Amino acid sequence: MTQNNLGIAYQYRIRGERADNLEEAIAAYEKSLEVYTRDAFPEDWAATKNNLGTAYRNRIRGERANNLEVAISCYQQALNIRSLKSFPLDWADTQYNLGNAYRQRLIGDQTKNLDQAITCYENVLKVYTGKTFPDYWAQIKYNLGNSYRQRFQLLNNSEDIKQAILAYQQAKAIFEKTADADLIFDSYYQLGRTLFEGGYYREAIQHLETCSQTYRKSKDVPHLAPILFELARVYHRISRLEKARLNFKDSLRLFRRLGDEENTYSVMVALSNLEIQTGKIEQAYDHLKEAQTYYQTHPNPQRLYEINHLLQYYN
Amino acid sequence: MSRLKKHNYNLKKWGLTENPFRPTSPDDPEKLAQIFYGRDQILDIAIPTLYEGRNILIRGAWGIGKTTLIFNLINQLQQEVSDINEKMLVLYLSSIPGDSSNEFYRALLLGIADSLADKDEEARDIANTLLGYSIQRTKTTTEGQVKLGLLSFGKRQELPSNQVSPTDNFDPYPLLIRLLNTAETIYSRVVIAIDDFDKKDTIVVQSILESSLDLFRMGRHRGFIMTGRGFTDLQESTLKALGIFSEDIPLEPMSQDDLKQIMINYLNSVRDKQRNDTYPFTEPVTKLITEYAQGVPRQLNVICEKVLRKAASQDYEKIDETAFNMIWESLQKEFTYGLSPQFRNLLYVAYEAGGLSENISDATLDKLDVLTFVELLPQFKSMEEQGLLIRQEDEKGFRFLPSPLFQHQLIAESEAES
Repeated sequence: MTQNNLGIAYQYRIRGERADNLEEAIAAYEKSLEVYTRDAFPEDWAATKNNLGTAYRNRIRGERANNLEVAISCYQQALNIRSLKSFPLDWADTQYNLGNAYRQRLIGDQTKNLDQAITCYENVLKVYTGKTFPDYWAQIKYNLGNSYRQRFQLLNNSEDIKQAILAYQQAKAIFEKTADADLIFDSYYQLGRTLFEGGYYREAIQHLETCSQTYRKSKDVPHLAPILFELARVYHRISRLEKARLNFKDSLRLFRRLGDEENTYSVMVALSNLEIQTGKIEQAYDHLKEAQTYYQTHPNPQRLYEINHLLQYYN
Repeated sequence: MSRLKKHNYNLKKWGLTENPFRPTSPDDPEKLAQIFYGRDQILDIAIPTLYEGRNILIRGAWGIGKTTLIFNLINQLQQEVSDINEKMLVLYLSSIPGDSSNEFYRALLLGIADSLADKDEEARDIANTLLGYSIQRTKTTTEGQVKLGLLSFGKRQELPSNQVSPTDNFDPYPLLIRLLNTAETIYSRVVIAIDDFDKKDTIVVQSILESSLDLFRMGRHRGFIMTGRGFTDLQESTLKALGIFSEDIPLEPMSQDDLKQIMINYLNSVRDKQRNDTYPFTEPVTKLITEYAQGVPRQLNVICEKVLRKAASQDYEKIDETAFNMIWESLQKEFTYGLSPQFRNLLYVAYEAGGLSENISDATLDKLDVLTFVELLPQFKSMEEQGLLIRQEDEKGFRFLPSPLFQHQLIAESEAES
């Protein structure tokens, strides 16, 4: 018991190097398992396996792909004991962890991993309902949204994007009742992006405009800037070029105000693309040159290639 | 002498029966023809285009003269079609409510049904039973075989009087197409002018147009003329690609000489004897006023209306520079002090910054207590419509300048005092 608790303590330790702490946690869990054998203490064994899985999932040292394989195996072993019938809450917790591990998995067919992740999350929702555990339920819905969206990106199946949108909307409705500004932002931002990726442009605009009004009202620059960037991208896609240009410029000024260079120059490149498209060649040139200078010292080969490609037309 | 007597006495002294300047164009065709100036080349193109049943988009900034042009265009069209002894139905529709294609079709349906009610039974039934909208203002004239109707709409809540009445849920499109065909059968040619459409959000306009392709393309002798303001370069080309508009006519700001001629025309419309000058305004004052109007006829009218009224209430022999400077100063005071604190601050900041554009600085945004330029736009639009701000466009984008009636020094002085 003590080794298991020690493992938990290390796993969540704030002081010290996180990588070291996780190694200590793994060692403690392994030790614990020498005592908590499956046959003698099945519940404790399963709990420790579950914790060990999470420590491996978060592990910083070692090959990440292998760590995730170990994590998945640990969770699966835990589930042999933690059944829906006998330990519904524990079963749901491990299903949730397993879902996360599958979503992050680097080995195997990505679609199948996402299928597994979605099944796990759906399983969790059999136990944690929106009525009884709203916050947790919303978090799972959010993860489900991420998984459906990732699967849509792979397979382009419209049903997946619909499911992702629905899941994000459900998560957002609960997050909005909490005081967690970052969670609320995540659900706003991901919903906006997903509506955009799914081709629901009008809905994306409506949603992002509403979000931008909220953040403008609260003068929340860090959250407003990326929302406006997204909004500009949607407007650009549907050829509402004036709106796109104005929103690119507003997000640019806000990222600058924040000193967020990476995003500042991302917006600048997007804006210069639009300026070229609308014949504002000189403004585009100035923006491209400025971005080129930045990316020459902050390597991003793809971005620099894009900039150089556009600049070559000026020669 | 009473105020009114003095006012009328002075107008009469200057050979004027009344103050002719108004911010909105007259809908009386004769009066309109008298004051209209400077867009003849557009009429040369637009009249045959509409006669052929093709569509026209008229674009331009607030107050640039879109409505005046359309009024004059349809009046001339009525006259010229009547002269060649042909039939035509011309409808001018404004203030169409709603933001969906369905609402647009319903208003169109009501307008056409109302215009055909005297000639077609089905049209009469529709006009009597269509719910949700009412025709608020209507004026009909007939020249030869050409009927011209001017209609504006209002929205109303009502319940169907009987179960067979069309309700809010029905699809008006098939009925609209049928009625347009009926109109074409009766009148041979149909022209529909849709004004004020540009006051809707661009995406609303775009989606209505895109979902109405058949409506705009069908019919051999059916032409639409619409006004637009917020279309950007590519949207215009998209609309062109959609084949909706066969002519896309931008209205540019007018030259000072053209504005002067409009002043003369307005004055002549109420003069006992026609003249070729802007009396009682002197030449240097005319130059100043046409400069202050910044190419915008509505701005010219607003300034002239106020200056003439003020001058007539005092005993000036004519409106020379001395008189104008006195009047202008008091008008600026009235205008500036009459503004709400919010508008006053915005105009002051705009003046200080040399106009507000999308390249606005962070410091200027801070002064306006906002984070972004976009959130200022609804306010700019409303201030533009009230003549408080003037929108100018060049290759760098657009810029809002304070009305010349705004006197920034008054604000600076009052701030210094407080």
